[in-house]
Amino acid sequence: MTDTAKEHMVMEHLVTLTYHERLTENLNRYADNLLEGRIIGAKCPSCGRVFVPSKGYCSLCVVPTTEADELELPDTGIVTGFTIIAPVNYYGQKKTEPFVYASVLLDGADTTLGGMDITGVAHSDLRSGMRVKAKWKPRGERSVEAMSNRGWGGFGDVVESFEATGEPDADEEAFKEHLF
Amino acid sequence: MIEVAVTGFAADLTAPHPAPPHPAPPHPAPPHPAAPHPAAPDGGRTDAELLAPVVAAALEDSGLAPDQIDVLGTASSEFLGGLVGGMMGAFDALPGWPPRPHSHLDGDGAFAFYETWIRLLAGEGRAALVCAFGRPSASDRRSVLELQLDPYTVAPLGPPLAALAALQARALIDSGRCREADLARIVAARRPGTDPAELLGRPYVASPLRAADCSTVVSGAAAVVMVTGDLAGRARRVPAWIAGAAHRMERHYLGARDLTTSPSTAAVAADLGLPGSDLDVLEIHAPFSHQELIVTEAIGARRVGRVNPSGGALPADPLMVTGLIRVGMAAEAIMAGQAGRVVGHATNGPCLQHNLLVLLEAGGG
Amino acid sequence: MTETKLEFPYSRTLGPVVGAFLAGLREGKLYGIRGADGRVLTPPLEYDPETGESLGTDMVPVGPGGTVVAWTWVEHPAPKHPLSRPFSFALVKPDGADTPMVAPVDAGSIEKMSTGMKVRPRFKPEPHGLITDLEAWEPV
Repeated sequence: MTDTAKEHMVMEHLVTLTYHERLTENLNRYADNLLEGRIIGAKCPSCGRVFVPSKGYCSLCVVPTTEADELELPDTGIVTGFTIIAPVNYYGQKKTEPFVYASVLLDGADTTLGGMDITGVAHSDLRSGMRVKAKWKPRGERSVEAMSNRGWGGFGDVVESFEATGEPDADEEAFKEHLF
Repeated sequence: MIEVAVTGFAADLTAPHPAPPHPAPPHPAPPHPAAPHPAAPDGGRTDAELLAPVVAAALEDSGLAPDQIDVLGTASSEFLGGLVGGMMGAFDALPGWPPRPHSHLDGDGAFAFYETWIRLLAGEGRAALVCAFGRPSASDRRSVLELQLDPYTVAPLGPPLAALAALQARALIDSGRCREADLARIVAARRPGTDPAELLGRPYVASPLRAADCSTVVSGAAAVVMVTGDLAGRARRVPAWIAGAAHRMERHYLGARDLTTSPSTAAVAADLGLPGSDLDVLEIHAPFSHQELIVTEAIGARRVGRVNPSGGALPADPLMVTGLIRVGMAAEAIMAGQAGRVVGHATNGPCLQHNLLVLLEAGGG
Repeated sequence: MTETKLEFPYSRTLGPVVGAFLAGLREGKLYGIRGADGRVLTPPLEYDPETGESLGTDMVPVGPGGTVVAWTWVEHPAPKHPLSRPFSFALVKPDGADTPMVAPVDAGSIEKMSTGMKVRPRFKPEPHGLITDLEAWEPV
């Protein structure tokens, strides 16, 4: 084989796939409310668990939930678990500094919001059980464009972060069944 | 000897695209993908929302409760869905607790059907649920399926799947075994309200194929319940006994194959004793009209009562679900008391590269 | 309506056979490889598609002429296609080869296309070591 051939023994191949879809009806209502600063969940008519966001059904009972089962939740809750990620410079990673990736259980909800930033507290002082409150973006800067039917619900890009309130930590009993 | 019967089947196909399946863009082609996208053809439902009703219906058909299902087999495509691990969201719609053996296949549900059947034969349980779901209408189907092609010498050329199928159709026509008029007759039989002569006047999307020769991609979901002999008595309808199933794959490089024949289908048909035999119903997974001829010829039955009474894949092709629907619709003919011996066919890959046949019979157990 | 874009960047090692084939294209040359039954396979494969035997690395020059064995027509090329004007995707069997390759044919119009037509390759002036260095086949 010639040297020229050896120089070209690798080919680059970038696969790009683009997806378009309409949000499901319940996610649409959820997204519209988020833009208005309201958080909507759905209460399972069978087991009473509150899902945020609603998937349109209770995933434990496999029964549908409808608009009639929806309720508004407060924007306060508990950090149930967290990690601090030192970003690796992989393809597509935009973060350069360590960042918080926390699960937040809203008061009255049975599912957590994942991947939330927690502010108002040093990374070294973060702990499960901390009380937090949403720090909403200004109305014009809120976006739900990153939401999709194919993810795990998400929270769009409507809050800057959840901020520590300084209240006493919640008792572990309050969230031990809801770590993720 | 364990014998297995299909005792439940349900499928849901959402409305097809309002536009033709392969719309001809204005020339020069617009930036890709064209925006705005047509109205969401999946009706804005998630995989789980598509799946839950068909699971419930198939279970009811079988007379079983969710907790009686021992084995789960599911299928979808992560690339078509657009989320790595996205199939796990759909599992919400399945009997989930307590955990049970579950295999998920990135491919057509008919191949999950085959694997699940093997698991029941191996004694892993008495009842199984096989599901497939797909919302390919949420993405650019062509780009996704092109990822199946040889990444060194074919994929960089970007041939649409319809163009590769057209090479196969051309080769078949050049071999003298069919004419474009024969393709038009197949299309007219599968797409109600179309006239063969009028079809021949329509423009090509990939000569010699017209848009109507290419399947209409939709979203969909399907569920099949299969049980071992002792549970077949619970079925609400006639059990469809699985007399045999097998699949074979051909070579990857298109140029290394004779595209006008399907040796993989022929080999499976021989294994199942189909050549020269009589079938009441043959359900063929042919995303392109001419492929129906190639598969029928490869199976070599002496007499086939009805080919694709369901309409086949042309009018509604929920990718990754279509093959399972063919097997399910073949079983359906038996369950409804309309047939005694049927075959369901499923395919995967460009130009019928990989083929599976399931033989079902009314007697047995 | 939401839009999501996924990207998968791959670096693919070509190996001694596909690598040699693509290196040949850089120099405007076409190669095949001899299969276990003596047939010449183009593009060359590392293993025999029938028997699975390793076929070594001895390239067999094929072409430069070729014959169209099957074809279709692309009236509206997409940005990813090798040509920006209407062209044919075809199976082209290079002279001396026993298997055809998927390739574009730049015939200008569908009326010029026919099974069995003779074609010759047109290579890009600035090759990249990719299959697209063979820009298209042209009618002779």
